[in-house]
Amino acid sequence: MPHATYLNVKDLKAETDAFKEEKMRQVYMDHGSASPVDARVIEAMMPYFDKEIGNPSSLHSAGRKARRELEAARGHVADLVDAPGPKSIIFTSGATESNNLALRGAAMRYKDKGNHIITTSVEHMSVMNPLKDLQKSGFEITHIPVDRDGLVSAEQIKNTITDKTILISVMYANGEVGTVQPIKEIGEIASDKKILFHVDGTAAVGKVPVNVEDEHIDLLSISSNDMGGPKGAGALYIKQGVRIMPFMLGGGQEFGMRSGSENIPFIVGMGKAAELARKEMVDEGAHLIRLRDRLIDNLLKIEYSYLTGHRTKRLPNNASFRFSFIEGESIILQLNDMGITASTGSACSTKTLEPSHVLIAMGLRHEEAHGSLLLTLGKSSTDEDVDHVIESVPEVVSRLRALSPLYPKK
Amino acid sequence: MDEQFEYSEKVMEHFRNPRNVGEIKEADGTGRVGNPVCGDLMEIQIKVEGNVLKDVKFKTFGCGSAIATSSMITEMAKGKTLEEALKITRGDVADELGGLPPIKMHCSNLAADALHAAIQDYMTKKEEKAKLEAEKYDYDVVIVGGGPGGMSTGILCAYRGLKTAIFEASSWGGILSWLCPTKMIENFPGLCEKTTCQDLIDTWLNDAKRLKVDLKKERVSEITQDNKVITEDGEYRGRIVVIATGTSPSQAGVKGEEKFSKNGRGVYYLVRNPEEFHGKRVLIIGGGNSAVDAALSIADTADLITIAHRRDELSAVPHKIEHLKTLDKVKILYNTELLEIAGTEKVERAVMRNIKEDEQLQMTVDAIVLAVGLTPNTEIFKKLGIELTEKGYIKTDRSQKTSMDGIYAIGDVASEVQFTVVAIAHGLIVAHNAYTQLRKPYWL
Repeated sequence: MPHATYLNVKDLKAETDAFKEEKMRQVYMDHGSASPVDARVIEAMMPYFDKEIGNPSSLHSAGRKARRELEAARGHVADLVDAPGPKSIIFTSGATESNNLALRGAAMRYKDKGNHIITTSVEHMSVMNPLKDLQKSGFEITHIPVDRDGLVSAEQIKNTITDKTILISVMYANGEVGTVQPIKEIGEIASDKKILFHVDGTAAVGKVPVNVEDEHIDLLSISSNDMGGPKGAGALYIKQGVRIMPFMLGGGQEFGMRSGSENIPFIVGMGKAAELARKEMVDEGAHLIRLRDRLIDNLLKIEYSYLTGHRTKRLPNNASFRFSFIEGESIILQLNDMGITASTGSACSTKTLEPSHVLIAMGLRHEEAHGSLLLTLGKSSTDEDVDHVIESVPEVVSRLRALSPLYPKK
Repeated sequence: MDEQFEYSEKVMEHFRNPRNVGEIKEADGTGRVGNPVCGDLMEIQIKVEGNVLKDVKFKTFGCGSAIATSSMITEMAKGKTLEEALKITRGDVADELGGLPPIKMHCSNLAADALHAAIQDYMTKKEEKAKLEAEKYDYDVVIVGGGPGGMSTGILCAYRGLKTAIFEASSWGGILSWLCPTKMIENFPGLCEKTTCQDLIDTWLNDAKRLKVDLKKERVSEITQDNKVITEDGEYRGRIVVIATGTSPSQAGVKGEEKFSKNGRGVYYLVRNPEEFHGKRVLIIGGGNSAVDAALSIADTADLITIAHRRDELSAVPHKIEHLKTLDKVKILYNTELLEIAGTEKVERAVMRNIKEDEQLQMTVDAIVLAVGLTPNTEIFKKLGIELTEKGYIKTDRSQKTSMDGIYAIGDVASEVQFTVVAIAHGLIVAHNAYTQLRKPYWL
């Protein structure tokens, strides 16, 4: 005989949760913070952890093999940015180190020529903070403001140059709002004035074509993870003939610019990522731009929503917004509950409780900067991912606006 | 994110399902606080009943913990008294949420601040409202009539801190002052045979003055529906009006009564001064306490006293009747009613009728005391349209409220049980109700 049993919410909780977990689509849209390593990259790296373990400085065959791989990787990275020769690339532990080395190294090397450095107000912390530190040692730093789209004016940089200016540092593209700067224009000015030009290429290299020769770049910081390589690796392009002062001293590896035994597995990984990026960048870019524009077109249908950053001079993988009357951390947490991983420039999401300096530099008021949402796509992103985001964000926005005392009543 | 930045399950639960979101229609208090550092903004609204937070709602612009702490504090504060709610601290909210990341502690501080601001707003508004109300009215309580009931009400209201005025047209103490000032107070447990009526009145007057009751010697001519008390000298508004007008001796309604009741022509309603009756033949109409009292009070001065009563038995208290029966000069006519008072300049003759025998009687008299009962003084409320009982008393409920909003009635004008202590008790009830109604203390 069938026997009816009463069920309550508790009885079904586990089942419900399991069902929810199962049904919930997981969408990763925070590639700007951390990217998955390409499977082909991992495959390329694997032998160098346990089998191919030679040190490139050694003369035996294992050492020579390691040397060959190191130089091959250098070649791939050099090719990616159209550097004239592999020797202009040195490997570091990441873009932060590359920025530190470029800025400190150049400043210390040319301090007798002058003490003025020009940069922008939207740089990454790994540029801002070394410059702040240099300021303490007597350097004068000029931060060029940006317009509402986050664009810096080459003309303004030109007008700021003095006979004391030794270095200009401008990021290629901003990871938070996606705006791509007029690098070539600035490069030409720097080249004319014979001032060193450093470019933080972290968010751009591997996403958009970068040509160091054509764009007159003297120093270019490159990130591995941002192009699908492993974290813990990076590179600095140093134009031939440019001398900077190393600060990591030791065995004289990397042409004396960065001592320490080379991190071969990671360098191999970065090299592979660069090789793949060079081949796939154009197709991947088109794919990303299509997804990006779908996100932008659809999310801007939400009332009181705005795009941050330039509409066209923009990284292919960056869709960044702000929504009035709500706060970013709340948006992120709610999206997280819907399976979507994203980022914000809100103060509430930071350790310092300061809103994103980039958004503030673009002229946003504090409360506007609070409502920012940053979606960064990767090569694995799909149309279904975008569909889920397009469905979820309006829901989250209206839910949070219902809570907000700022949202105007109708 | 390291552990320091992670939210507890409870925080996430409140963030996902925030309680009491929204606005309260006609909220009693609104608290809006913002944090300039991180830009959070919280708005908490409260509905207060008595002294208790009946409803608490919020709206918040801010991070996860800002929303969770807002939600939590509304739950914590609901049902609490204002004092309890004011004691909720930022720490309490955080504890209740199972802790907050250290860097987020400012957000919970905000929730407590917003609640406290809402309560502060409520209290400020309440004060302003009370001030406005107070300005609209001259007094919290206006009492019409300065008899035992009126004076007691005034004293007890003032004792509770209410601004009070008593209006009296003739003498303070009412019936006690004109009926029997020098006599010992009767029917007053604890004071019987110890205190004269005048002593009691003086004690009340001292109390009233000490408690700053406004004692106004003005005759009230009208009371309006909006609690305005109109006298010959002005108009006064009381948030509460208390009618304590007492009673007056009833008229007999016989021929000649009006002619001889003025200017000492021989018709009296009570004995104020026994000397006036010296050597006179006096006829007293009535059989109750006032008739017997009148007879007893002139026993030493009058020449001859006759009591004429409609019934065949006196209704005064037994010991007074006993006393009366010992007096030689007192004669009693039972079953007799007064028909007419006759005379030329002064009272000379009373025309009566024996009801049982249907016989007319005539009697030569010098004075007549009409002690035929007491009539409630409701004349000035005719326009007001206040509800009366069949017998003409003002109708009240057990809390002494009349049919008119904000108007109470006490003592003899509102009760057939007419004792000083009853009027005083009415005064106490009204003072209590007035205080509850006007001050709305949380304990009542």
